[in-house]
Amino acid sequence: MSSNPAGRAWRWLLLAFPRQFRRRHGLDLLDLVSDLVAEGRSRRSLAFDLAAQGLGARLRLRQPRPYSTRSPDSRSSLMDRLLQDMRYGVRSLVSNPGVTLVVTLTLGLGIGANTAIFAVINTVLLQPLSFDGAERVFQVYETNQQRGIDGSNVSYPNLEDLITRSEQIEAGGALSFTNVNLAAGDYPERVRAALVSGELFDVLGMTTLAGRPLGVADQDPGAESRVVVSEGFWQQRLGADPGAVGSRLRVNGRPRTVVGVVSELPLADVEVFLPLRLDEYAHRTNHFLQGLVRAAPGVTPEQLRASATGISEGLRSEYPEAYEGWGFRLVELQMALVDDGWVILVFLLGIVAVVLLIACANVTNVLLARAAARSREIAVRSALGAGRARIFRQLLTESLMLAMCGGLAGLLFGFLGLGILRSNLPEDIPRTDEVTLDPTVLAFTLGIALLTGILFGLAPALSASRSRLSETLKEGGAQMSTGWARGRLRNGLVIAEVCVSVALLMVAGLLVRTLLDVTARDPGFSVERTLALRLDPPAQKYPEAVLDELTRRLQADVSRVPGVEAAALTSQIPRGSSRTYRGFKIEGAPSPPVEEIDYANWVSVTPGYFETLRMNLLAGRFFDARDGADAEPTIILNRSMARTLFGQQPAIGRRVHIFTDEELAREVVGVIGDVVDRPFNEEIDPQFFTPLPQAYSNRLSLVVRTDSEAATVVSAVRDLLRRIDPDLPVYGVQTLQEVLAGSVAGPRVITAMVGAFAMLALGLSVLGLYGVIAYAVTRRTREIGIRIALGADAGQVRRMVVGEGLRLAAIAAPLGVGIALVFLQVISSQFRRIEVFDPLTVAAVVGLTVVAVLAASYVPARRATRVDPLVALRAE
Amino acid sequence: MSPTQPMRPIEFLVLAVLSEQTRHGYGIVQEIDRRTRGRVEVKPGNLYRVIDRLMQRGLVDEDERRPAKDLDNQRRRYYTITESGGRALTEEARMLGAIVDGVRATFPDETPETAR
Repeated sequence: MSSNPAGRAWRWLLLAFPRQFRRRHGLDLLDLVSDLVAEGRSRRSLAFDLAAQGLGARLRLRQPRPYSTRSPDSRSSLMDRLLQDMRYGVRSLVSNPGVTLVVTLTLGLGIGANTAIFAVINTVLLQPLSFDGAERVFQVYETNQQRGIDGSNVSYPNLEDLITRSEQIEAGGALSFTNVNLAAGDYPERVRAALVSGELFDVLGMTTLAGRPLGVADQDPGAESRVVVSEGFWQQRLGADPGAVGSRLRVNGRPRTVVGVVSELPLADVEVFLPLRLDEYAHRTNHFLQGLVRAAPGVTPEQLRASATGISEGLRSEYPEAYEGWGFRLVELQMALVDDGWVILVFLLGIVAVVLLIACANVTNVLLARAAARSREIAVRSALGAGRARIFRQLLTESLMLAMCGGLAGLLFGFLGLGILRSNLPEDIPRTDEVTLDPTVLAFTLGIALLTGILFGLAPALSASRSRLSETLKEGGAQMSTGWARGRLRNGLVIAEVCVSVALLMVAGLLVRTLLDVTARDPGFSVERTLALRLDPPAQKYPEAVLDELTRRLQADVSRVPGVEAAALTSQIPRGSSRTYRGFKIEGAPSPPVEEIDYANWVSVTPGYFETLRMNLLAGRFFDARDGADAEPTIILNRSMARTLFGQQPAIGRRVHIFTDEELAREVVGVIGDVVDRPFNEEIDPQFFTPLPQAYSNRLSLVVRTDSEAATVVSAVRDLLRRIDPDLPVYGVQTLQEVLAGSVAGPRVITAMVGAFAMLALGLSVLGLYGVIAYAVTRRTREIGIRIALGADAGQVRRMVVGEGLRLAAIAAPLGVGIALVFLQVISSQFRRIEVFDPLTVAAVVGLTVVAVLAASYVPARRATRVDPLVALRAE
Repeated sequence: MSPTQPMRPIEFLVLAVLSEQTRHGYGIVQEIDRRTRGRVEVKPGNLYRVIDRLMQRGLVDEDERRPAKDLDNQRRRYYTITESGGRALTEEARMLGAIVDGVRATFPDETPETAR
């Protein structure tokens, strides 16, 4: 058979079997095969049998036993084995309380962070909103591609038309959030309120607890002033008084009748609801409402959107000027609430996942060290008959049990962390009050715990079950030469940990730098001791002429209030959120087609505004008494707009067309320095200002600069306003400091969280470093003893130990910095203002790492200096 | 391995065949084929794995004695059942036999297969 080429083929097939088997039975097998072939059996089936059986032998696959018996034998059922392993595991954990505690804490922190973040993700992204029909509710936005608007609020008539004309829509309503002064008793408070229209309560599944909800009749301008209160307000401020319905509340100085009590608004905390009056705000061009519609049952989102598109086409032909370029965009309410917030959440989840990996690496190291220490025990067990697989399985079970302890600790930490998280999440994240540890989160935690258990348990279990028996017992088990491979793994893990921590710190550092840069950036206006108050005089009561008089009076009277240095009115405060845009062009230039019109932010101000806010005048003059209602139309540009229009040429004296109703040409009389409205953007929006008497707006804010603490002036100003017109709604009172802080609040929170997690990661890495350095000291005790005996002083010994740590850090830190730079480069589109490679940040991070190494080396270094040479040299 | 462990059918067959006389691999295959009237076809890989296992359990051993040279190829190994193998076989046969008896009692008209 040997010289036969066919025979050689069979030999090849034989290689499927394990070597020992081949040695024992190979020749016989080949003989049998040749006999069977000679007999006439199918070669193919024989070949297949060889291959299959060979592989089966390698993989130790066997035919199942025909029946299992109840034998008192080590090959018991799976359940028995598991229980036995678990019992052994518990004994092992209990007898090593130090290790168990450290591992549980480490894992608990890592798992807890993940649990907390996932709980938020679960509620915000995965769980549906909790009221009936929520999945059929959509938020309505209006878009205008020509103006670059893709998600603005709706105007009342547009929304009305959409609701009434669409067959796919079952009910709809709108709301607008605001703040009002409430006098329940003689202590007026500012409370959150919502103006509602249509069937908003129905769409949002709110139930009526007493009286009735607001309806369309209440929106009639002639109707009595009514209000509906929320359940919370009714319980807390009205003492759950059953006679609340029918009572009166003074809202913004005006008495209103309470007509009902409703359940809480699912979208936000609102105390009272006011009907949206259909007078001034009901212009088709006034986009200020949040529109919500509920689709009829069975209607698909595509059908709904198609219907909306059809309706907007109709509106475009009916109202060519007011509706030109507009359209609807409908977004499922749940997604609309989240909007871009999910990016932040996923980012945070990524970070805490990394932190957990670091924790796992630490635990792996600890367990590897322990496996080395237990090698004797394992060797003895192996000699007594426990197979490798058995030992491996048992060690893995032990790890899983540790992981479960970590999981429980993680639940606890997660619960605590959630409490902190809930009150500190940025505002983009909705429904944070609903976040809780529900079964999904518990399942997630369990899953993560199991996964980490496998992850960190695998290496130590593999390593331990592979111990060479004879070597272990011969050398007394402590310092094994096979520990070399393990030491490598441990070092590698720690390097990885430090590397990742460094990368996280770099990211955090960049975020911090961005934040610092943004807050340090000159806003372009004075921030100290300046107040802003929203007024919004209703147009019905304040047509142009009356408004003119009001603004003059306000400005004059407020300026005279003790403590006030200057006051003015404006249609938009800096860093404000509601902005109006208008198209513009140079006078004389041809009118561009609609899609190419440039738009700029339009602000209308009284004289004295620029001075009140101490803005920079770059050319020309500010507005003054000359710019009255009957004077030549004037305009002031910001530098960005002046550059856009005129480049380097002087702008003063030139004339600009603004596409408002009048299409007047205005003369440029001044250019002011740029005001930073969007702090995270590099470019400044073009902005232009018109004198308020020449271009009225009913959305007004009063800005007041005081010479003392702003807060003390507020009540004086309020009193004054109330005297002038007790019905004038005054709200949104903030200092400009608060406005500024609010515009970076979200990023600040994120930066703080990333920083906190990065520090946590570093802390865990320090623990890991400590473990490895301590182990190295133990391993080199003899060497240290010799050095001391030969005259090395404490300092030299300490340096030797610290050197161990620095060696590892020297590999890890540059790697971490490199990884971070690559990652940051990839996402650098978000950070246009900062150079991604910042030497200061790198130096700070490297410095922190060195400090960490020193901290980790402290205890082992001290221990090393205390080594008694006699003892060390004696020990085996 | 305690002999009270139940056997896989193929193991029982191999032990049964070896209990009468020492055989080599081909001999085992042929005998099983004969006794089961061709119903059980033992493939070589399978057979030697079984033999390997039985040897590890001490139920089968290699036979030192060999038949006359001229009757046989010298390379072949011969296998024989050990004492514990015999005990295991007997016990299994006893168990199976009791079951077979029960079956026969239920279907008395069926002609039992003559094994020999």
